Amino acid sequence: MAKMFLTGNEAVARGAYEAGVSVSSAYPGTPSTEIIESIGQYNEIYSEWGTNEKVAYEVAYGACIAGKRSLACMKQVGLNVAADPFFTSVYTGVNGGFVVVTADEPGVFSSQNEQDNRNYGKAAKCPVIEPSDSQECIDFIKLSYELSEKFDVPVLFRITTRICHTHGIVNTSDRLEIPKKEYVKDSPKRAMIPVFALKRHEAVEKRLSDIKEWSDSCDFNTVINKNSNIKTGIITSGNAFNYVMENFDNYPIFKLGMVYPLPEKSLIDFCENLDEIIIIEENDDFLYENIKLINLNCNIRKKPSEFIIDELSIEKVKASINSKKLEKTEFNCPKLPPRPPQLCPACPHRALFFLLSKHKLKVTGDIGCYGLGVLPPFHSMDTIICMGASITMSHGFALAGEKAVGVIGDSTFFHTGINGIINTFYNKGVSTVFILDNSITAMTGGQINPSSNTLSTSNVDIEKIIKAIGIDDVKVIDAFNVKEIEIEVRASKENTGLKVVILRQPCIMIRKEKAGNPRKVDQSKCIKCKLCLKVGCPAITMQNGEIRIMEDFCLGCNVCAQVCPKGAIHE
Amino acid sequence: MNKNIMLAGVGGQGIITASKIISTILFLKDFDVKKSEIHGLSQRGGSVTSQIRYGKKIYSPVVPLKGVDFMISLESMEVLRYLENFSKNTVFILNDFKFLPITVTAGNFEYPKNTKDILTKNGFKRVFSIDAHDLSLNKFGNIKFANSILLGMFSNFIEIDIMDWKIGFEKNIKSKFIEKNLLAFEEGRKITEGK
Ligand SMILES: Cc1ncc(C[n+]2csc(CCOP(=O)(O)OP(=O)(O)O)c2C)c(N)n1
Repeated sequence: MAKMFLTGNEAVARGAYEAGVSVSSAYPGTPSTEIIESIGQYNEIYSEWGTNEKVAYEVAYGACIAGKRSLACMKQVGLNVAADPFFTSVYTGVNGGFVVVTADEPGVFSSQNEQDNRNYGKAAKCPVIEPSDSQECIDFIKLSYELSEKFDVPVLFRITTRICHTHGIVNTSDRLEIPKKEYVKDSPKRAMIPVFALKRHEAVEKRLSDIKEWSDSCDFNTVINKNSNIKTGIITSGNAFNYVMENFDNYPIFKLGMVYPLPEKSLIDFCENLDEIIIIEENDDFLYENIKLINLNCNIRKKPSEFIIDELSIEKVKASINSKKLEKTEFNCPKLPPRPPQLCPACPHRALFFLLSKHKLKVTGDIGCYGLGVLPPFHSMDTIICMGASITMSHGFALAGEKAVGVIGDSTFFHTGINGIINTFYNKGVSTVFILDNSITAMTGGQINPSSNTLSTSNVDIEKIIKAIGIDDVKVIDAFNVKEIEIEVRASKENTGLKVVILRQPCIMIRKEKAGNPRKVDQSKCIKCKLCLKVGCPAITMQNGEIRIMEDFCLGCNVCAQVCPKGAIHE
Repeated sequence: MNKNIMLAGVGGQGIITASKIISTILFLKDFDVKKSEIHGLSQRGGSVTSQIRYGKKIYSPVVPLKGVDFMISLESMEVLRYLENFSKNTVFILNDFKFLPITVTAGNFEYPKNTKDILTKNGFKRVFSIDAHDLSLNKFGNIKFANSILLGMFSNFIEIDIMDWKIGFEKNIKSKFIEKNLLAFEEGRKITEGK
């Protein structure tokens, strides 16, 4: 037993290690990314970055059916992509234990929506586990594998940003070596043709009620202060439990570690001598809606509806329990300048966005660092919905008589963009697609993807794929070459077919050396037109009326110099 | 009694390492500790914070409103974004270095004139400020040691001995940089000595 200081994500990885997991796969996505990164330290677990969540899910699930304990991890919207195998794998069950981690984002720090994936558990009839801190991430992952094998079911393990990214103290143990289970063919159970699927649905319903019964005695749930004389009880789970404990640790508290299905008998017991219960949970009123269905014989309250939006806090929980309004203090402070995140110096996405903005093109966008193209100074993305939607929506725009270029990154191209480009080509669509190939998945911190060059993976060349599809109008351009990109940006307005432009330069995270020497401004030539500020580079500032390039920050990509109408920027 | 430390700054300023140094020491001192930060989008030059809570038993990873005991701001105005987290007793260690955001350089916003004045006006009086970038540049020829100066300034307010700080640095910084960082730390310590 060693004491360690781990984030929830590192603790999930540790839990998987201790539980004897052998195979893991994921597609990166905040706040889940560090789970697989941390699993990398354990030689006993094979891990890979899948090309998308559905792929990652199926790889790990394949290993589970073949007989090994396995793990798939994704962010909340990732489960949308993996929903197809998720739902049916609940029918087909497991061989080795199987856990899928969903990392939800109350507060939407780095996502495109605030969906609450506990709902998926109910929809798919799959048990949902929710830990409250790093120690529980370890303990509950281990218990989840036992649950998975005991009931022959995948387990949905729901964590949230604050759990994922909070370091806490944990006690660790040794790894349990789990031998591979024998693989025995069982098509009626695993090959879901309609006749078999209907039979399996029966098994799913039976199993769900078995798990429900078992949940009354399981180790996931705890009751605190059962004998308190306070007549208001609190039912809570996950990080909401932590906020409850800050001010109400003397109340009777039912802490749910398994949030679906619910332990009905224990909840009825808990409420026996209470006048009312209040349900404290983050985002949707998931517990509330389901607890309401149980005959509890006491008044049931929930948080105010406006708290469904955004993450909870100590104060919101206090306001909910005490039925008070949130207090707000006013301060004597000028309005602060916002500090939006920016593309890095020498980011290869910059030149394109400068030009899309300059030519005022409609842009169906995608998800990646280039999402920053929405913000000032570019203001140049019309839509961002989900990964891959740039290419498909650009085709849809054209069908409705609007012209929009699609912009997508390399990782996102391999994720789901590739399906869309085949679709546009085969349906003879009209569109210009810019693929920003920086050879890495940058947004999430630099994970590899098929465009990366590493010794342990094979490189896939996007240009070759595009050509192999049959698209002849393909160009590869240096992402720092403003002039050449501008030709393509202009041409996109007149384009009558499908054109793909690949912009290539490595992300600065994987650059071995600077793109060039730092640039300087020749003040005698500068006319202060501020066009260079429109490239949105953190290295360029205006101080005391003069444009300056901060030498320490400039990585010499030379985009600003190409934009300057007076040639005032040079090496 | 539980104590709360908050660090604020701009993505890329080294906030995570500074926060790690402090939390490593508290962990080794057998406190219950939680350290929480948001990764992802904001790291690209946006506003970032890290929160450390320590004591006998810590539940919430997030500091309660008015709950910050020690505020370390690696940039001047960033501290002003979190006023509702402070109380009259909050000790502020402030790097009075202005890192202009794009909204200022583009001329759409004005950078607040004097951070310390604004804090004082709102009743937050225990403010210890210095341009740590300037000091780091003057003393060590590089701005990279600013955060260690700030940690040194902070060290006089928390009961951790010097030997433990040393361990915190050793566990989180590349060995070739440790010596200079410890010198910068000492430099910071002098500034708030006896305060
Ligand atoms: C379904 C889904 N999975 C994962 C994510 C998290 N995510 C956001 S952007 C991104 C990858 C971006 O990589 P790339 O397209 O190469 O662009 P870059 O950031 O490198 O510019 C990922 C994985 C997401 N938003 N949605």
